[in-house]
Amino acid sequence: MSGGGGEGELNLVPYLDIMMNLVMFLLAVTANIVQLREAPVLVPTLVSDNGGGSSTVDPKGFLTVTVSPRGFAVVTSYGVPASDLPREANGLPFDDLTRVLRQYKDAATAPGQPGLKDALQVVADSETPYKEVVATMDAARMDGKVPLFPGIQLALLAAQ
Amino acid sequence: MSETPADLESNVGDDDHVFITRKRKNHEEVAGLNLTAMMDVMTILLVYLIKLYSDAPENLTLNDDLRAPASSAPDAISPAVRVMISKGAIIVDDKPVLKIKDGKIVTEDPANMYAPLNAALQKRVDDLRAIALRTGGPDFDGILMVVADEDTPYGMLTGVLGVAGRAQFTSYRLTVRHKKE
Repeated sequence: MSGGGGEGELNLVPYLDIMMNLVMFLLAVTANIVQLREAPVLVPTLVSDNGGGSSTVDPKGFLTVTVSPRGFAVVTSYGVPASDLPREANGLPFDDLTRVLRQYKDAATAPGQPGLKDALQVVADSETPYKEVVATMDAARMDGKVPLFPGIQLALLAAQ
Repeated sequence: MSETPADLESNVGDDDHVFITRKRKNHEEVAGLNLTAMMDVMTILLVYLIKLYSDAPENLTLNDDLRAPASSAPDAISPAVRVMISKGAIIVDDKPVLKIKDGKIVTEDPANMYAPLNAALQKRVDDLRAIALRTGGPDFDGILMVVADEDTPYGMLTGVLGVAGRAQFTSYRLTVRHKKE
């Protein structure tokens, strides 16, 4: 078979041109596809008749991390003193948050202590950028390779 | 001067005739490039790339208006009803339902600013339930995929989640860009 398009033969050159362009386009597109992941979150039930979001809140042994322009505040539901982690010049102190949460978890899960749920509540100021909330969730979810609080619950703001 | 195939055939026997016929065929094949093998390779490559591209559930159009935040969340994306919150609009399954300007929802009725979103989500849920009923397929699973721009205010995000809860969504997945450790 000749590709030159002799008399009585199919001319394949235009077809090959199209194929080549398509392959180049798809190679370029697939090489630049952004890899996406998903982060499951829990949301408290809003009203009684809707099914809302599932919630695993236990009033005992539950941690709340608040994110505000001032920084982080870690609040516990069982009398352990709260921690404030002020915002630094280069942003929120995510490494310090992970360290503090690890300390809380180790202290609460020691023998004779009430223990902690694996869920943690995150609440943020209404103007806090979403990326800071996601980074806070990352800091609370894992401590290096060790799971810290894998279940994250987003608190809904009262005004919504 | 080289002999042409006609010259060669003029004074030869049967054995020589076979040899000359082969020589003529080789002469013709050299004249044109055989593209069949190349076409095979290109076709296989094209089919593979089209399948790879079309099967990706994360086939989302991210741009400057919609840039998901980076995260170390490990879960792979699964198909679900999708709400996108970009810098310019809130979009339900590729249909804009609310406009956003300067980080605020553009509305004439601030008390019910999420009403169009609520209606769109409720309609989507009703459609999915009707399809499941008609086809006998699995019922509506209540999963909502939220793709939000990284600068979206937390108040708007929770507002959307609250409306989704009222539309009977029960499980929420925040879509993020994979951050390599």
